[in-house]
Amino acid sequence: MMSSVRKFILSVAFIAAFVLYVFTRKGPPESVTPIAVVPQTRTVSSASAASVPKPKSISSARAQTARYRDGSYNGKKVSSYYGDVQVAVTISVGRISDVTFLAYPQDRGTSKAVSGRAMPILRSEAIAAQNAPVDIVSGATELSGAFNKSFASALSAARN
Amino acid sequence: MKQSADIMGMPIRLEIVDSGVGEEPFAEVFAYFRDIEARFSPFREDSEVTLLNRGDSTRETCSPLLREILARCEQTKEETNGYFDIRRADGKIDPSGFVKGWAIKQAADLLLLKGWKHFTVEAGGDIQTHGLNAEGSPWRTGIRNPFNTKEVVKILLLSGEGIATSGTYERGQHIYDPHKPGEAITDIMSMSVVGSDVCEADRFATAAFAMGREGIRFIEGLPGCEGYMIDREGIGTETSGFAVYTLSHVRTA
Repeated sequence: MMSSVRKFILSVAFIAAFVLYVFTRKGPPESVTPIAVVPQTRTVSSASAASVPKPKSISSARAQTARYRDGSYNGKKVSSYYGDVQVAVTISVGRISDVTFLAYPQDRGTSKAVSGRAMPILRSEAIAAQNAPVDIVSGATELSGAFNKSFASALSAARN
Repeated sequence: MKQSADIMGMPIRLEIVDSGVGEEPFAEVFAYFRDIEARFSPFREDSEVTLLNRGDSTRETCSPLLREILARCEQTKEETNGYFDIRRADGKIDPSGFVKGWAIKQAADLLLLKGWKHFTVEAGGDIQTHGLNAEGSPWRTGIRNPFNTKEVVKILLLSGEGIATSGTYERGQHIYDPHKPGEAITDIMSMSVVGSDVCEADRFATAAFAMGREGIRFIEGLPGCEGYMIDREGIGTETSGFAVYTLSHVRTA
């Protein structure tokens, strides 16, 4: 049977060990704004992987786009509500290497650097399709159709 | 009650959920948009804008309303370091990029004046919201997936704010830098801006999209605006205050 003194010393030792453990544990890492975050799922809505084209591996991309001949091709000038849209597509080594606007409704203006103030890291995430119902949807509409038509006609010209 | 009409080359959609709503406000709003089209469309032979571009009128002799619109466009050009510019390459002016959002806001103000409280006004993907939807919740507003226009990738709760999305929806062709094989040139697919009203949202969304990836930082720096940008890799980037619109807040009409 242990003497009371021994019991006392043992208890103190346990308590000391516990206190030491609590105070030497590392706290949670400093919060850093994550660069890529899995989107939070809400209780009502569910999210699923959004349809996003996956970049193909180089070899399959090469095989896929081998049908494009190298060179620069102007798409048709297509009118939209905002004005004319016309794109030029450059093919290098059988792949699309550049798309430039020959005509675009809003002049992009002289290229000026946006003020280089220090900015917080902005939260980014892979987009995810939301399956919950909505009342209304915001999206670019009209201009995109004109871009698509001009782009498609440039690719047609580039095909073998 | 919901109605839509094709005006200014785009669908104009109006939904009013106040009780007792009839045909009248819909007729008034569509008539308003038709009037705006007649007055300011650069594609109408006899519009005020065409007259100005032809030299048949000047900034001094044109209508006060057109003068005001031009002044707002000039102001927007300054605020966006020239990324918003209504002057085309051929020297003619085309204020359509400003008029769209502005007209939606004017139409919404018209409805408020008539006592309507719970509605959305939309023109070509830009939306002004007021009050609550039919279920009594802020308007559930989706942001379209630029890679699949049948999907939405964000749902926002708006009541009084405006949202505008500028973008392009090519079918996901990847653009490669021939000097860096395998590395896609990243650029952006869409830029959505939420503002205190749709006029604010619209004028900055157009400019921010033209800035490319830097556009989201431009919106971050604007007090009163939040933004969501989607790039070619399918990555969405939001301004630091954007999340307030994706959380459920108890909102009063």
